This record gives sequence, structure tokens and C-alpha cells, in this order.
Amino acid sequence: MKLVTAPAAPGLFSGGLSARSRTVTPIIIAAVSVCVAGLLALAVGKAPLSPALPYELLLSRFGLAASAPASSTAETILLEIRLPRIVLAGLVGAALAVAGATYQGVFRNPLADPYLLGVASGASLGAVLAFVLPIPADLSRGGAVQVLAFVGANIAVVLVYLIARIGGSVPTTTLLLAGIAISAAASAATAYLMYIRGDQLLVIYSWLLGGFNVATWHEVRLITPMVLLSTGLMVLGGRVMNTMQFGEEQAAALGIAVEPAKLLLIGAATLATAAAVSVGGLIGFVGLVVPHITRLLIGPDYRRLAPTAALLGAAFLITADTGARAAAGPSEVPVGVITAAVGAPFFLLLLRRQKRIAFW
Amino acid sequence: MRTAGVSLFAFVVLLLAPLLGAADVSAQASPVAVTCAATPLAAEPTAFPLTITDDAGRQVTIERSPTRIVSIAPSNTEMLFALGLAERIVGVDSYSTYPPEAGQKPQVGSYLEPDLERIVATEPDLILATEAHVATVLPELDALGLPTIVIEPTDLDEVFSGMLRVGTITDVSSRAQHVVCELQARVDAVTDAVAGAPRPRVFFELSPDLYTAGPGSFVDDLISRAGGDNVAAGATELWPQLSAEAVVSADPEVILLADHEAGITAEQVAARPGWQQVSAVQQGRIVLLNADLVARPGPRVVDGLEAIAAALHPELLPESGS
Amino acid sequence: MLEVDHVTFGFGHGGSPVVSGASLALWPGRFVGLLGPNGSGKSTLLRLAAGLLHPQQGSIRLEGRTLGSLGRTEIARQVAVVPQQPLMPEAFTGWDIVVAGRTPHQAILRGTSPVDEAIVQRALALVDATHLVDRRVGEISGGEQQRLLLARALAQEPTVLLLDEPTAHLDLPHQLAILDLALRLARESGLAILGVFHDLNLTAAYCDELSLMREGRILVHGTPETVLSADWIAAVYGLDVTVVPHPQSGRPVVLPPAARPRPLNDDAFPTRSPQKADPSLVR
Repeated sequence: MKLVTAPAAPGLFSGGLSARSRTVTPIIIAAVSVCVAGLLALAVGKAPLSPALPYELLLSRFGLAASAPASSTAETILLEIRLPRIVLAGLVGAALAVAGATYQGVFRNPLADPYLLGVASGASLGAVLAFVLPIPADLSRGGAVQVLAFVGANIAVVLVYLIARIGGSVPTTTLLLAGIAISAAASAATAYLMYIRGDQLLVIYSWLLGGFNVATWHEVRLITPMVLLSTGLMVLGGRVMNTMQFGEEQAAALGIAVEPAKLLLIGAATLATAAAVSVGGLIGFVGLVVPHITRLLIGPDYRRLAPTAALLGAAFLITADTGARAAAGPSEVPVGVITAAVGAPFFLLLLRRQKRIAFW
Repeated sequence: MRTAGVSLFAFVVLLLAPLLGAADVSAQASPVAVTCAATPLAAEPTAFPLTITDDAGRQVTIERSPTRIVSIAPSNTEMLFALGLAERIVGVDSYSTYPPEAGQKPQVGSYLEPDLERIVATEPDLILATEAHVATVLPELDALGLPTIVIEPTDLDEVFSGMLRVGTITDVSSRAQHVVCELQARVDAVTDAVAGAPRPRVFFELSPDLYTAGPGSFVDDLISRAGGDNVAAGATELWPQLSAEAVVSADPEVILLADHEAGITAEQVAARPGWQQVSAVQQGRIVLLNADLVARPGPRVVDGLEAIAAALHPELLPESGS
Repeated sequence: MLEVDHVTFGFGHGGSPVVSGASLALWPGRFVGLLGPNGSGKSTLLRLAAGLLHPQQGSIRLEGRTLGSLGRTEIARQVAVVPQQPLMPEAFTGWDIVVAGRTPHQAILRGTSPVDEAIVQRALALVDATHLVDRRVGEISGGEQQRLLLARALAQEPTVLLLDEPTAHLDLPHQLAILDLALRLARESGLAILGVFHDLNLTAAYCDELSLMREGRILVHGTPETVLSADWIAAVYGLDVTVVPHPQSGRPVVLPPAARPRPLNDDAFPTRSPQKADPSLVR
């Protein structure tokens, strides 16, 4: 059956042209906010450098200005320590935000966050194992922690998936329950390890709290491919996720291969989260709140939501990390404290203003 | 062991230290050699029953000189052994690993979770605890009527006064004064040697993600006495966490590694991106420190002080560490 | 065309089948109605026809090929379902709902083309829901939601349309409008339509053929005149009705028995209250 015989001119209804422009503008604004956050972050740090120095340095690097009078120490601090930290915070924020949005879409549950299916507990168990097991002297323990945290996160979700599979399908409710069970088991194992190795409590606690205070380009190189790949998958799956909001049966009726789609989306979200957690620890709030804030700002269409949430997540975490570094004195506030302190009131404010309008 | 001469003045200062606060001893050109064996002040035997206020502000009454002592903290265990009370110890916690003889004593649980049943089974008449136990196991020990004393020194001087107090409680005051005198002599030898020397910037690395000792902490006190300036002096927390940027821009001249049990080596520190220009890395002054020497507020902190001082001023202290 | 061939289906293992040996044929241009009491398996049969459930016995063939051999997308390009109690995300607008119907025709990486947009606009116009295009689902009535779902199904440009109680929430004018639309689409565009209904009279007025189900089996299939006889209705529903021809169309019109207050201990509608009823209420 054909409804139209020739392409009609769009624009008669608002669903036409303005829908397309609605897609593009928020993403541009979000991208700009990432750049602004990153540039501002460059000026903040513990090193006694003038705030203008980073910009002079960058401009001279690109040949746009005369060479800045910076000592090699200042240059090293800016380019080897401060800049990679900002980039890493952006990558981790983007990964957590888009993974959170994906979990919320697949499970159709506004309370879903990227740590839902046992990623957090699996990563914690992996990290703690790396802290307490003997490591050969020529390997770096920090590297072992990253690898084992990443592996632990993925193993946990794979286990959850296998447990929840019934026949050929994986019902979302069963996934959630299996996630709770695996999380509990991993948490118990972690607690036991922490108990018998109380001497490692400080490093373990510090890892759990999360942060970027020893970030280098090495960590950036480590997770960039994974984050880009998985974020790309989730962004491409925007229309599929829109359709899945009608429930799995209706999505199937509309032509979506539901089980493979779920596998791919959950897999991508898990990879992104595992990568983020392996280098940043368990930073909370980003994956839960940034998707909601994005939704309140631009609506529930996942084709727009996924990329915009990624960008806003990057801007958010960069800004939070800047706040963590901005305190006077040599020490820092844990970035997870900043994300909660900033995110919660902002979210409540938005909710109050939009209470009348459904945003889910 | 340092048995270098100590001035009489320093010894009197020791006894008056709680009143005067930490006194600064300037280096004497020719130290008067007075050994601690002959103390003009004979310590009197303790009068029992004895009521004291412990470091947690609790009033505890000791009926008679304790002969069955349980220690549930490694620092207190080391104190007891240093005071020559080994035969009186009937129970230690599982973290009490020094001296090696402590490992032969019956264990009564871990430092964090002492085993009440085992403690009671040893029939103690004195239990030495720390501040960490006040909220957890102390109420039960009190309820069982077991005399428990909290010892929680927050700096070097309080370690010595704590040892003297334990000596009083166990009626070995003269031996305690002798031991403390010798320890104080070593401390003074260090502070004398480094007085007036330029103070290097020091970064004390507690963990690979850059936790360090802040002002008011034990280690900070030791660094200060050893003639160094802690780069974390501007922090407000007791155990602040720094960032790579903060450490590199502070440019420490000496890095003390207390986290090599976590696998951190001097080579790894030197290989960290951006750390190559740190003075300590360029001059190879990255020193491994036995964390137990500075983490346990007991007699071995003097060993810790000497180790730190040797790292900071190797040219001033000919015998490096003990 | 869609052929349902002696399908049997039950949920779980060892339970009694919900649908037993049911057969249907949907031809282009024909509007088939599916009737039966609650729990007779009508919706299940519809879901089987849509390929959303897999029969344990029998087969379902679309243009001669079994549904199992076709991919989800291929089925969705030809078969559209309007569900009975759908999940409707409240923040979606009318546009978002209907444009989802274009999904089976859109490649993963391509967005919504001008042709897609035109189709969506046309679908909205057909169901009289153009004014809902920017309204959020959470703010509109159940009937308006139902029309949006129908528009979504039409946007799929299907050859087979499966309707599960499509008129349940609509007022009478809209009920008639939707059924007019369905009939017109069948006749003019060659749509094959299967509708599950409760309303016997509307079904009789619009459908070309009717199937009557009871306890998972299709008891009778044929024209409205054949199927909606007092005997069959009594056999399937257990009701004593009068059937008269419609004065204009001649199609059967089912008249329920005259209203009368039933005794409170009647089995057909057992009382829930445990106390003894007030006898003065019984005539």
C-alpha cells in the first residue's frame, strides 16, 4: 500500500524541516560547551603558572602567536600532566553519560545508571585483586589495576547476561535481577579481600572514590579507541532505541531484531563504562543525571540524546574535575563529591521547572 | 644504635618536655657525655592502686602492677617489648610483627577486629588499645571489667611520654626512663646534626595515587625534625591526596616512598610522564622507606626519623639508618 | 496475502494451548473480523499472525513464505500491527510515534527522508490526528493515542494490517471514521485487514468475513449473515439474542436481551459481597 505517490514539500507541518534543525543545534551547543569547559580547565591548576600561559603556549604551538616565554617545566606540566588529565576527564564523562543513557533506554527505566548490571562491583573486585595479588616486579601495579578492573567489569556483565538468558531471549527484568545478584556476590568478595588485607585499605578506598590526579597520555591512549567505538555504536543505535521505547514486542513488530539489538547496545554501554571505570574509578552521578538533564533540555529522541549526552557528560566531568583542582593548597577534593554536589541541585532545579511536562 | 653523648641539659628537657612543649636543642660544640645508665633521678616505684587518665580521656584505675598484658595494636606491642616487658605479654594482635618474638605470642584477633573471646581467655589484667578501638571494642572490654588503656601518641614527644606512662603503670619506671632517655638522645643527635642545614623539599608518597602526610600528622612531624620541608605543608587535611601536577610543580628534592609494598619502585617514579624534571628524580634522590617505621607510633619511629634524616641529609649523618 | 494454517500455541510447557488448530486467510482488499468472548485466544492468534509468537504446530505464511524464514524487518515492511494496550512513552510527540512506523523502511545510517516525512503527514491526516503532531503522548486522550497508533501502522505502508481492538477507546463518530478508513484502504489500496473486535454490530457492518472463536478454536467462519446468527452467538457467548437485518444494509444487527435486574445469586454475574443481600432490592 502506498500512502504518497510523489515526494511532498516538507514544512507544512512542524515535523518537517524544523525537526532536522532540532537535531543539529543542541549538538553544536553541546560541542561548544565541551570546548569551553576544556579551555577554562587549562587555566586552573596547582602549578604556579599564570592563567594566560596555557593559551599562549597552545597558540604558539599552532604558529598563531609568538613563542611564549615558558620554561620547559611549565610546558611539561601543561602538556604532559594538565592537558591529558582534562582530555581523560572528558572521555570518561562522555563514556559514562552515553552509557547511562543507553541503559536507561534499553531498560526503559529512568533509574538505570551505567553501574547497573554489575559493572561497578566487577570492576571493584578486579581492582582489589590487582591490589592484593603479588605482581611480578617488572609489571606496573597501576597497569594491573586498570586491566583487571576492565576485565572484571566485563566478566560481571557477561555472567549476568548468561544467567538471565532464557531460551533465545534475555528479558530485561531478569537481567536486572541477575545484575543485583552478581553485584552482591562481587561486593561480598571485595569486602572479604579488603578485610584480610586491611593494609591496602587506603589505596583501595582511594580507587573506589575515583579521580584523575595521576592521569597521563598513557591512560588517554588506552581508552580512546574503546570509548570512541562504543560511543559510536550507541549513537548509531539511536533510532533502534527510540523504537524500543514502545516495548520489545512492538519494537519487533516494527522490524527491530530485539535480542541482537539489546546485546549490541548493552555490550557497547558496558565496554564504555568498563573503560571509564578502569582509569577513573567509580565516579558517580554522571551516568545517571547527565542523560536526564539532556533529556530535559532536548527531549527523549535517542538519536539526539546519545551524542548530546556524551558531549554534555564530557563538559560536566571536565568542569567537575576543574572544581576538584581549584581548591587552595596542594590537596584536592575527590571528583565524585563535586559531581554529586553540582549535579543534584541542578537536576532538582530543572525538575521543578519542568514538573508539568513529561520528559521521560 | 646511637650512643653519642647527650648533654645533661637535654635530659632535663626531656623530663620537662610535657610542660615546655617540644624544646629546640641547639648543637653544642662539645656535647657533655652523660650516659643514660646513671640517672640522678631514681624513679620511685609506682603506688597502687593507680588512677590515670588515658589518651582518650578515660579515667582508669589499675589495682596492682599488671602481669598479664594484652596489646591489640602493633605500636603498643613494640612499646612493651622495648620496655623489656616481654614475659608479661599474654596476647597480641595479628599485625604485631615486630620484634620477631612477638610472633610467638598468642594472637587475639586483628588490630581492626580484636577477638573478645580470645582476649578474655588469656585472663588479662591490662589491655593496651588505641583511639581506633574506642568506638568498637572498648565498651565491651569496659563492660567485662577489663582495665583498658588507650595510648594514642600524635607526635614524637607523645610517643616518649606514652612509654613513660606505660612504664609507670607496669612499675618499671626507671627502666622506662632509661629507654626513653636513649631514644631521646638519638632524636637529639639527629636534630643537632641537621640544625642550620638547608632544608630540602620533601614529598612523602603514601600510595601510588599520591596520598601524603599533611600538617599535624606523625610523618609531617618526623620530616620536620629530620630537617626537611614537607611539600604538603599547605594542605588542611591530615592525609591529603595530591595530584601529579601539584607534586611536579612543588619540585621536591627528595621523594620518600612508603608504598613500595604496592609495587612502586624508584624506577617507576622516575618513569612517570612529566616527572623527569623533578629535582628528586634528576638527582636520583628517591628513597624507599619502611612504612612500618613511620606508621606505628611506637619506639621505632626513632628508626624512622633516622632513616628520613639519612635520606634528607646523607652528608651530615655518616651512618645511614639502622 | 497471509495464511494461518492450523496453528496451535500455548504459553509455557505442558499448559493447555491458548490457540488450537486455528486457520485464517487474509486476502488483499478483504476486511476480516475476529470475534469471541474474553480469553478465547483472539489477541494471541493476532500476535501469531504478526510473527510475534511462534506456533508450536502449524504454520503462518506471508506471500507463500513462512514467517520463520523471513527477517523481522521484512515482515515489518508488509505486516503492521495496531496493539491493544501498548507502551507509550509519555514524552514522545505524535510525530515521534508515527515516524516510528517508517523504521522498517529506513536504513540504519540514514535519517528521515522527505518521502518519510510526507508519508507520516499523510498517515496523520488519514486518521484525523494532524493536530496531534507536536502534542506529547502523556497529554492526549486514550482515543487520540489509538489513532496515532493506527497512523503509525499506516506509515509502515503494509500490505497486511492487523488491528487489536482498534476502536476500544473511541467515541462513536471516531469508531465509524476508523472503520470507514479501514474499509476504504482495503478497497482502494488492496490492504488485507484482520481486526479483533468486541462490538458485534460494527463488525457486522464493516467486515467482509467473520471468524468466531471460543476457547482457542475457530468455531465458524463466513459472512456476517452466516456467523452472526442467534444460534452461533448462543453457542459461543452463551447469550440469548435477537438478530435482525439492518434496515439500510441488510447486515445482521444483534440485539441483546431486554435489560432486567438479575437476582443477586445468579451465576452469570456472581455477587462479590459476602453478606446476605437486601431482599427488598430483588423484584
